[in-house]
Amino acid sequence: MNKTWTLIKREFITKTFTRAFLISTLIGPIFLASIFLIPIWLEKSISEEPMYIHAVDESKLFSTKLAYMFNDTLSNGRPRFVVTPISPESYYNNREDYENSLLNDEIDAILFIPSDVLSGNTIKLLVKKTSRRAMEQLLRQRLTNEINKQRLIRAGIDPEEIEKLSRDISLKVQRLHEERETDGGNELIAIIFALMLYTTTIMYGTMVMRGVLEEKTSRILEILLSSSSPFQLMMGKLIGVGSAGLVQYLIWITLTLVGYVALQVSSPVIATSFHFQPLILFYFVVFFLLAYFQFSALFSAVGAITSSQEDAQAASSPVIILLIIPFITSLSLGVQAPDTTLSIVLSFLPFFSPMMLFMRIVMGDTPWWQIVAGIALNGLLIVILTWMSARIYRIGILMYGKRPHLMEVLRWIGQK
Amino acid sequence: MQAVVVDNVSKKYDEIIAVKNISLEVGQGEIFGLLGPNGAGKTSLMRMIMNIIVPDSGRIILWGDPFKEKHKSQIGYLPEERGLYPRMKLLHHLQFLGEMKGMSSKEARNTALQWLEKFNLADRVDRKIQDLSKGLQQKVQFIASVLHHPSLLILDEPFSGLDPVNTKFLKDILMEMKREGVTILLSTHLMEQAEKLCDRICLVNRGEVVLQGKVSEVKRKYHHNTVLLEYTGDGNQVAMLPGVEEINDYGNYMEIRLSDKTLPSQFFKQLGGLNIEVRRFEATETSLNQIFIDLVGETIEE
Repeated sequence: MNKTWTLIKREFITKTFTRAFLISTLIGPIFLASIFLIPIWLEKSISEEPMYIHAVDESKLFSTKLAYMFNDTLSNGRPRFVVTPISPESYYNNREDYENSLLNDEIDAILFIPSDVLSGNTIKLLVKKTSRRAMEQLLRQRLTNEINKQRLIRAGIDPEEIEKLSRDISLKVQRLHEERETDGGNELIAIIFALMLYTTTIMYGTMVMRGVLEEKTSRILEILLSSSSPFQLMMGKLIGVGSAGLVQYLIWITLTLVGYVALQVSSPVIATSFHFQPLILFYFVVFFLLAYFQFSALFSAVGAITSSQEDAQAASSPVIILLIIPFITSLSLGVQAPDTTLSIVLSFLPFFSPMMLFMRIVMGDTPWWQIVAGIALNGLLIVILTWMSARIYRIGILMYGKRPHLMEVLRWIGQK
Repeated sequence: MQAVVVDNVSKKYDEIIAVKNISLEVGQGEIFGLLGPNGAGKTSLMRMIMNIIVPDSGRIILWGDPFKEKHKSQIGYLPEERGLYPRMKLLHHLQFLGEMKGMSSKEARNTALQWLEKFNLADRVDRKIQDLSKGLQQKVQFIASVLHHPSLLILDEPFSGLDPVNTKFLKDILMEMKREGVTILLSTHLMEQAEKLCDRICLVNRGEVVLQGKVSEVKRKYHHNTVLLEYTGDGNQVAMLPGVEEINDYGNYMEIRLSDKTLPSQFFKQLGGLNIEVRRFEATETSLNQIFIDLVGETIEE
């Protein structure tokens, strides 16, 4: 046990005190932060501040109606658009004044509705800088509705009918908008988590493989074997590299939690606008460990049966495919249809389970017994895989030269 | 009690027989030489003694017991293919290897420092292994094998790649360890080294024991009436002289085996009649190399 500990210590130190570890530890939070930042950015682009608009209606179609046309409200109940109608005469007489007030940020935009708006299809919005695209989008929608209404009236359609029709449309627009905002947030979180889980599993798994290979090619293995058993060696590597990964994950989730708390304190409105549960971070670590240990057991066996980097690259591709397929499946099925039978079955299947089950948890409403059973099954699988890999490792590490066939490798598992 | 007993051990890799029915005993405190050409099975035998590989048949007994995991801490090993972690720092590396042999980290560190001092490496403790020269790496590798005060030291070709200065340095250290009671099992294909250093030898070829015993006994048993001649001139004439059985001519000197009845002094007189200048004449023992050649009909040196 002491020797395994010595091996773990060495692995841990040599893996953490590297530039690569530092960089990936720093990049991780940027990914995780985007979980928060993207919804914030979405929210920010539809600003919390009302937009002050001066409207110049040359068509005389809307006149006083302009002030009531934009009845959207902000989350704090204030109107989103504050529109002041201005007669074209007044505007052209004091044009400089109006433009100055735009430059001085007293107003946000000047809206021109040309006299030929019904046939011409263009409306001009004069702004200082085009930074509030979402607002402009909203503005365009409202105006399009209003102008189309006028067009229909001109075409002789009953105004009452038009009213009904246009109300329907605006209602639908709002619903769509809301739905995208919340669901989009959850899906985004799921995808980012899946991406990180996949990347780190591959990163740490291949690290184990390269480590085993390095010990083989540098021939230090013989010295290590004169000091400890092959099983101790393999476990030292798996646990050592794994604990480097664990530390990285703990740094990440600590930073994420700090960020989350800070966000809740500074802008509670945004923090509650998307469904993020800190418990997910706990599962994030658990499923990383489950994924890491099953794949790194395979990677260590691959490292043991090969004798060069090129060889290892080729031999590891089945393992990587075994990692990519669940990743893609969990991105599509796990995120979009987490509660279908196929998704549930896959979340208990070896290799699929860590990512699939985790995606389902992130998407919400996974029964607790499925979570417990899934974790237990993964644990069992890890024990089996580690045992099998240890049998392969023990024989493989002393073999140099030509890579053995798969059948031969499988025979080693049963060998005395 | 014998430190190592190898009892009728065999090992096969696929269809290749690496070791075939080898038995040998290494006494406590002696230097035992395992001799033979490359591929004779020396390394396989050493690996089996350390339980790195398991024999197909036969037994290996260490200090009276079959192999136990605790024995690993009592054995120091210098493999033929030297290997260290290239990116680890010198002192850290030795400390790590010491701990792997069951030392506490402080103990490992202190002993490593003592050895580095002895090898004049004390100023390089923070260097990475990959930044050291090949020669220095070999020294580090040797320190790693003796760091934990092993009672059995297994050295696979310890002298290969060493310059004369370091060869002597290593030989002196081995003699020192022998005086301290360490049992040393070394393999070599340099007969001359083995002759000088070993108490007992075992000559293996193609996985089988050719002969074994005390160096002095082996030599007596396989003794031939041999003289060494250093000369200038036409050496071909020597072969014509009566009493000569076999000549191993190196150009400047030759090993001459005489028939049992020919006395070296008699033979020396005959040399006077030849057109050669004798620089040195010595009645000598047969070298191990010569014995090996006699026994297996091929040379052991590369």
